[in-house]
Amino acid sequence: MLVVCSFILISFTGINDFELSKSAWKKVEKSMNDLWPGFPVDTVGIGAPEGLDIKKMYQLQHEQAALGYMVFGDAPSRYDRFDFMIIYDMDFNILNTNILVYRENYGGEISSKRWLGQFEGKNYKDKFKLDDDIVGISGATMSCRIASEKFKRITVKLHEMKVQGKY
Amino acid sequence: MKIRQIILSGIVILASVVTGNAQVTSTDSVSLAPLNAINNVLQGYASRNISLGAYAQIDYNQPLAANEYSIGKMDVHRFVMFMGYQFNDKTQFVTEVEFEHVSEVYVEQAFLNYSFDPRLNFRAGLLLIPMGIINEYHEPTTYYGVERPNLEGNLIPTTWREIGAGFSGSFPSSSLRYQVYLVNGFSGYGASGATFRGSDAFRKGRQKAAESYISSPNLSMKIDYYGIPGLKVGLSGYTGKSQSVLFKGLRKDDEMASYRADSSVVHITMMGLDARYQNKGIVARAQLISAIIGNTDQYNAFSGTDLGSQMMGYYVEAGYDVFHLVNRQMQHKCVPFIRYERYDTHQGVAGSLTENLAYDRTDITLGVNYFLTPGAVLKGDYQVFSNQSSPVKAKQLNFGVGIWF
Repeated sequence: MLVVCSFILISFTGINDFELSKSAWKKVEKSMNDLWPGFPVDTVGIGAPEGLDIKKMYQLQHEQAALGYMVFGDAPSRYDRFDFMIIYDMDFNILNTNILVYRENYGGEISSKRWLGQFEGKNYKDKFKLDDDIVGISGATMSCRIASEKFKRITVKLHEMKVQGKY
Repeated sequence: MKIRQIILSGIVILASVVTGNAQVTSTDSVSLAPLNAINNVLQGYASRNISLGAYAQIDYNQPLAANEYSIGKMDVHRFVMFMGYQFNDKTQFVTEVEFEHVSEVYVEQAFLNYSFDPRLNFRAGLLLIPMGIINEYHEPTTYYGVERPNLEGNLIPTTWREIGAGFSGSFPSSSLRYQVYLVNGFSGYGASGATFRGSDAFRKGRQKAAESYISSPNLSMKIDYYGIPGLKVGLSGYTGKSQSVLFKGLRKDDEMASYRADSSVVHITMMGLDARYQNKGIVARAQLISAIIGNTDQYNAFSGTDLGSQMMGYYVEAGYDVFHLVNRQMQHKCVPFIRYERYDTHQGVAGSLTENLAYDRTDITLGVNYFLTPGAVLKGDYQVFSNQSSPVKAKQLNFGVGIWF
């Protein structure tokens, strides 16, 4: 599939301490391919809310028609930080999440597609609460909790900004 | 492709000049002397890459007896400091230094990890043996009860670690994680003679990586599957010969000495199956361990000890966070639990050794873990220990504090 992306924008963010590795970018491409098979998707960099560890945010477009949004961010695991991606539709319902880089020895189970699948369809109204609407993974409880909370905060904030007409 | 790289390089150089990064880079390369680790930390250069942490377990154990006085034990059982350094996204070093019972100092883990890909990591150094649940996940906030299950101490000699190397990785699409390591084995016959015995098998044979010696490498493996929500299942395997100092300087044509050396070694094959479940306030776990030990008749005859030829043990544990019923937003968790353990280190014996029924043990633990936060827990429990050789049951009350950050 042809994914036309703004490489310059992504590479440029490396100066600001965020750069996608080849393998991470492959995950992004795969997620987009799964969501919009056969569609060329453009990524257009847009402003992101501050204070949520969002490193970069894009609007996703197909032939200039908006498809949704893509957010890259990071969050702490127990001793390190992991990089993640969230793809939303235009109303900030989650379409897909992915752990792009998990650096620590324990807790990497949160990269599981089955586990991340629990976030699909969630939006600002949902709880994103471990042991409630999100089921955890033994041995990765802390990373599960942190990822859930982070996804919730970002989703709520983006919805709030959409209501304010910023997206 | 090349044109894009040239454009990108131009942009990076331009951006560096604008932000002043260029100046810093040139200063670093020309005039700064190399910094040692302490300077790196003090000046904040390395702080992004250094991780610090700790876990600790402080216990009070009070045996209870009807007809006699008994004294309790108060112990800073473990205080473990963690340090990790991330050289880059692919290369990291992890270590844990343990103070046990305040005065004993050990290195619990110390390994270099190189990640080719999340699916393939190379590790070398002092590694935890992936057998069962607790040996890898042994921080006090991750298990129920003041003390670790006794099965873990007597069948799996937790915390079991050895120097070695191997591979680990995970496959997100199939929710699988694997570990395969070639490691050093237990010392079955050291400078002061035989170390294995019937009551706790290999526990005294742990070399703890302190000037450990090797005569034959061992293989350790584990696969975990976590594709069913809330459930994690693990299958562990370990095989190899124990180590013996009698091989040191052994002449290959010295038949008598070779026979003696061979008699000082046992062949260990251990398998483990474990499962953990957590969902909607329910926590449950189960573990089954089975070991077959070869050459025990010669080993016991040679060294005068009583190592069994087969061991088996299991435990099941269940708990429920009662606050989950009341208020799911609470950070505190109150988890009453019960654990039933049955383990026998003399399930099978070889040669003239008779089975010691005292090693066929049943422990029941009933208690509460009260979590103030996920990383701080107060514990209390009551334990009843029994074995097949006697109708008398020993009882013990335990209280403890556990932290992990």
